[in-house]
Amino acid sequence: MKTKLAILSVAGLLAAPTMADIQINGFANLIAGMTLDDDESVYDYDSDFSFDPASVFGLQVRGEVSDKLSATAQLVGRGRDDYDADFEWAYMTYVLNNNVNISAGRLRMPLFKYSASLDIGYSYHWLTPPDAVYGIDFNNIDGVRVDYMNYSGDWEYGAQFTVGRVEADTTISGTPAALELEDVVAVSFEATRDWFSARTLLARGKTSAANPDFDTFVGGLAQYGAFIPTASTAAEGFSVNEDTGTFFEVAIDIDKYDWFVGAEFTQTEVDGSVIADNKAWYVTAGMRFGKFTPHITYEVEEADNGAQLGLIAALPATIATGDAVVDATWNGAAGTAGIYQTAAGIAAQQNLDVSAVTVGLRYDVEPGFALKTDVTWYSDDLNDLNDATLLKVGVNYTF
Amino acid sequence: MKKWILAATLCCNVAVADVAVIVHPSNGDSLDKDSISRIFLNKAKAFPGGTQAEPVALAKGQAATDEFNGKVLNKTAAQLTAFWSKLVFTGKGQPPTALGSDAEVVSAVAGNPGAIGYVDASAVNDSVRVVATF
Repeated sequence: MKTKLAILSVAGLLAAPTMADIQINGFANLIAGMTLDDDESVYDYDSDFSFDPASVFGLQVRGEVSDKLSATAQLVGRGRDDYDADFEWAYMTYVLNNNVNISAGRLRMPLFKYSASLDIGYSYHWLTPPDAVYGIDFNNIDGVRVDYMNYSGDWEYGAQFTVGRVEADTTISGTPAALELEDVVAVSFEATRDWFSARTLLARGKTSAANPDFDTFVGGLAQYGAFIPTASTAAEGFSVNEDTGTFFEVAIDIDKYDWFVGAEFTQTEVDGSVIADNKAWYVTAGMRFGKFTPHITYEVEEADNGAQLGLIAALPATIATGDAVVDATWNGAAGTAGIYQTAAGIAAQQNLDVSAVTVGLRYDVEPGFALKTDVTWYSDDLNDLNDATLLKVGVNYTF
Repeated sequence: MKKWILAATLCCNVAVADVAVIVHPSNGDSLDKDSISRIFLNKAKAFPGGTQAEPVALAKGQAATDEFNGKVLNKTAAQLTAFWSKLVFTGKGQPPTALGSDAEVVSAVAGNPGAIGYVDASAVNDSVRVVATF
């Protein structure tokens, strides 16, 4: 009797005409990497074989509430977070007409060419996209995104308009900090014709970042405004407090199937903050021989700390107010850095000049499943001790 | 010997098999390769006449599937999987429902004025209209 009831209820469920249309998709990137020399480390890898820095598993559930309205949630577990699953996306999409969709909730910000499919390793040739451009602290935004797409003749084109706010973890001169971007507005365009595609994005937002150590330092610097006028300017110029941040991106891609080349450039500026102006770009090329795709990429990231060094240049290295404690706190004493030295050190640290060459091979086992290996030669032009060679192997799976 | 002839016939039938793109008989739109490709790749949501399009695919492994993907969509199975994974995981679209056989596609298209499908040309009957053959 019990069995019969169970069967009946299952049959009832299957036949229920009101059941929402639910789609479940998933992806897995299992990536292992290690540097090839004992004392080298780069991108969170060191000479011990590790799966943690780049492995990602995800499950996406999409339910159609009606013809026009759907709800999507993506549950993602990352190796670097000990695979603690997190709802990275949770949004509802309304289909306004055949050309316009409006999505609201927590969603992906279309910052880069591969932003949309960043976690879907299967959708690109590398194991991970070039860190110089893609190594950013946030990829998702809480807000609203309007997607427009259309075609005309042989051209397909689209535009996205995104507004919202971002909260993420970042670092200020090496220590963890909370990053907050408010009033974010981003506009992007893309166009595709047969084998050619191009896209660009412009975004701005009020940027704030804080951690206790840095706040103490900035507060200390500001107090010296009473003795040194330029100290107030420097404190303001170092703090990341509702400063206007701008981000610009442009990418082009030529894909003739047998071979492809692509390039992407980004520029980040947060005026009046410790964050140095940052420029990054890569060029990549590859060939497809049946199931094999060998490829090569050159990437560069540079940060210009000219503005920060300018603030330091306006400060006196030593002061003599007559008050021994005030002077020592600024000037420093034997074995302890004063505020001036700390500020100079932080400004100097913001300089960056790194490049990397990556050579890799993708092997398509079957649709939805690829094996890959990449070797990256990373070079820090400011400090050769940071140079490293990284080997990665991995699988990308999607269903 | 007979076996060899049979094998040769099978091979050549597959090689020259045409794929027919079919719509409901009430659908009077004329469609070229580009417009069919756009409908099946989620780029166009409606027929030129304005009716919402509901593409129906054929399952992997069916003869017409690879023909259609290669000749009309210009994509290999791997490329198509990568293409859809991008759309699916960005909420921009879902691949068309794939039915198991030519006959299922024909009857699905015959029963839905907005449907468009592709089948082996030999599977077409009067219940549907052929808009193009590749």
